[in-house]
Amino acid sequence: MVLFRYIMRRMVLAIATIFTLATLTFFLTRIAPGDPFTKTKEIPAETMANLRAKYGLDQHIMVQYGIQMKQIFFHFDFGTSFRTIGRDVNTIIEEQFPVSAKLGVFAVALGTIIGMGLGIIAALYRNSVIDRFAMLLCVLGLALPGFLFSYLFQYFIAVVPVTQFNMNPDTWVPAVGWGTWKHYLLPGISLSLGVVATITRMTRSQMVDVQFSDYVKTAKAKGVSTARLVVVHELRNAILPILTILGPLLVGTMMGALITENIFGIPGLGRVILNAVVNSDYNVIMGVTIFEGAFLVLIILATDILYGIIDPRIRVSA
Amino acid sequence: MFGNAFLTTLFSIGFGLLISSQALAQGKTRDERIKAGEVYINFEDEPPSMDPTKQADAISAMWLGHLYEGLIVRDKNGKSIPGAAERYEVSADGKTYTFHLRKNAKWHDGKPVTASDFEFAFRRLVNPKFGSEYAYIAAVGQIENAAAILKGKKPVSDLGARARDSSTFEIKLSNPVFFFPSLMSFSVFYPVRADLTQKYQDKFAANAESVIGNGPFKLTRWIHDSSMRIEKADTYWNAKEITMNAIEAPMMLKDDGAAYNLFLTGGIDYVILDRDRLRIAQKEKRAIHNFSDDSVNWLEINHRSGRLFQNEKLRHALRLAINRAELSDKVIGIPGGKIAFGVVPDYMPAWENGKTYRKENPLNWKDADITEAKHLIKSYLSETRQSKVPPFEILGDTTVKGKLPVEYLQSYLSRVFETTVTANLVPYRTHSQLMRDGEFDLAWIGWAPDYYDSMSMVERFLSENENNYGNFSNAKFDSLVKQARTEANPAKRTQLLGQAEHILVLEKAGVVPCYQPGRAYLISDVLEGYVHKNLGIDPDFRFAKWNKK
Repeated sequence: MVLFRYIMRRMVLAIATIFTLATLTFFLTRIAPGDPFTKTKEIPAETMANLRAKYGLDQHIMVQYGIQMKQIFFHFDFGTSFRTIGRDVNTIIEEQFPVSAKLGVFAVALGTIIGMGLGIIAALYRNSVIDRFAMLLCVLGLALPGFLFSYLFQYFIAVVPVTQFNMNPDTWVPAVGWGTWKHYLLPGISLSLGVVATITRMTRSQMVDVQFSDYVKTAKAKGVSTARLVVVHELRNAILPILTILGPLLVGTMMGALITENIFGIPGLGRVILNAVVNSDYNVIMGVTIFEGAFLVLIILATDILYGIIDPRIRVSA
Repeated sequence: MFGNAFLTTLFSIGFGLLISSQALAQGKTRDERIKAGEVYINFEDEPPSMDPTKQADAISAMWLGHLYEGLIVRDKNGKSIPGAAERYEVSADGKTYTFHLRKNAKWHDGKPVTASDFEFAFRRLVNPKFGSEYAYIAAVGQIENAAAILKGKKPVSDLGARARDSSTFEIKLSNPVFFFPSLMSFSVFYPVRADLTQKYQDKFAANAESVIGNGPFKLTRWIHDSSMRIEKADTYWNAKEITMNAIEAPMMLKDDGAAYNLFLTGGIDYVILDRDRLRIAQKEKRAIHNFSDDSVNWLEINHRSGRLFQNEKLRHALRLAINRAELSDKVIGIPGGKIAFGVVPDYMPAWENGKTYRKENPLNWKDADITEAKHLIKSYLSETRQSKVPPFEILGDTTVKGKLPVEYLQSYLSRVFETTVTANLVPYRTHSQLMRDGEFDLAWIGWAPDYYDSMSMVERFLSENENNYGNFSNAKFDSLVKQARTEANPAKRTQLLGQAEHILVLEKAGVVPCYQPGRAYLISDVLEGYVHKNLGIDPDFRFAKWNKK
């Protein structure tokens, strides 16, 4: 019963969060000068009035707000794009999201594997050259934006070998595009660097924490081998916090892929939102923002509920 | 345990997505393309509308121009020649055009193209409920009753464009219009099938299967925000002239660097160079081609009361002071760019024996005449009893094209006028809105004609024109332009427009034209017959072919 009440409370909070996000998005897009039909050339007044009426932009802003909120929260319908005529926002999300999701999952999986490996090594050889090097990588990975690596990788790994060293462009790593496994490599690696940095730091500090706990000392005293000690005794305890940040990290990587998607010409949600903002495409901005926001909220909610199940103390304090 | 089960599910969904990677059709290599007669290009975006009657942008116009054909088409040299119409007659008073459609003109599904397809499209265009952004072009072409229908004062069926029989289409005008045939090549005048709009309703032209044209190519693939492909249509009446089997945009890259890299690695055959890529290509000694854009860039002057440049002397100082050569060659530095003294671009026709408007109406003066400009500024200062020109602002947009000239002019003009000049750089949409609201002293703006005639540029400065953001107003100018609108003699008309432009630019310095932009591009050295066109289908690959030697 306590658990049920806890879950219900979190659900209500989640819906309130999404509602606030939708309201903010609605009014912020309307505050920006111009609307989807503002162009350098003046559209004749009659045509403009006809266009506005057709898309409901002639109504009072509060009426527009009411209609859109009703559509979103009761019908899960974000309307149609103002720019690509006749395209539903729901369809746009359905078609482009899987692309961003696949790239995001690839980058996070890759980053997690590398990051955990690096973190373990750094923790085992604390304050050594390897540790310092790993930490330097972490600082770089967190401080430098992912798209910088995207540009560098694209130029030095995909372009230079073809133009300077006569590599066959048809078999070499493609510079841009989407469709085969090779297309995952460069954008995936450049996006994974941020993940590597986060995971390495977390793994290292968790490992260092448990290294001094009593049960590890006991295990050492018993003469357990280093490999067994690391994998069975230390890593198992260190891994839980890492698993909990994977969800938010995945969403963050997907949303942060905006510029990387553009650089590599990947048809994901990133380019959709970029286009939508440039064109004041209200419905698409709203749709993608709410979708990604809801996705994040849901993942955090799931994590919290799981935490609540695993550790009852959190329920009490929440 | 529940927690483990959840995580397992999450991961299996994730990896499932990864593995089930939707198999997008993979592109051909350049060698394969040459063998198959296909050309790959990049567009930064989706076409916003593949409905010809709704078209309002260059990307849509390019695709539609390959998929559809109007009554008239423009050939490789930009000349208007019969397209879906085999021939046409003009009545003696120049007010009635009778188009005879080709007997073998067919839609991509094999149905014949009829006059009622055109009638349907024309009526759809002027229907106020339809909301086409270019609807007013029907009124520009002076099609009978178009203006009244657009205002909702007459029913759509009153439009002076009617199907006489299945292959005869008649258009009545209220006044003779010289450029009328060239106007008929514009995509909003392409035929549209009533049955398809019925069938697809709101989804008409939103996906590949609902796009059925009558042009040399048919749309065979459209993956939104990802790729497009058109293939040669055997139903086209002139299919034997079309040498390319397919034109494809394998991806839609917004990033100029990505498109350039894709070209270098053989993924596309044609790429437009932005300024940074141009410098790299020059350094790498690549064969760079160029053309002049169809627009003219100028400094719009705000003539509203209380604004600094309401003063005519200062306007003339501005007109004389600007160093167009430096701006074009040193600052912007894109090959194909030209300096401009007038608002009408240099390629506009005079509708008489192949003469151009600019040759008939030459307009120029000494560029960068700083001595004379300073003289005028001095006389302004003594007249107004001031010791210093008040500070002023130049409005520009934040794109490279907008930023660079404004930043240059800011420092250049502050030296000439010896005062503080600020550059107000804002996003494109805000720029448009501020111009509309009259919130500027000077504004850098590029303007392209809507139709292939000098009138399209000159009439923008009429007192009542809604695009006249600077509120330029001159009675003599207005009367000359209005006279030109109804003038039946082409030579006389060109002269009238020339006089009007002379008042606007030289006598009153109502606007300060500066530059006709150039664009640089790279193209595969074995690709021939590609055409760049001012206004209309651009780039035009209808007659492109691979030179397989």
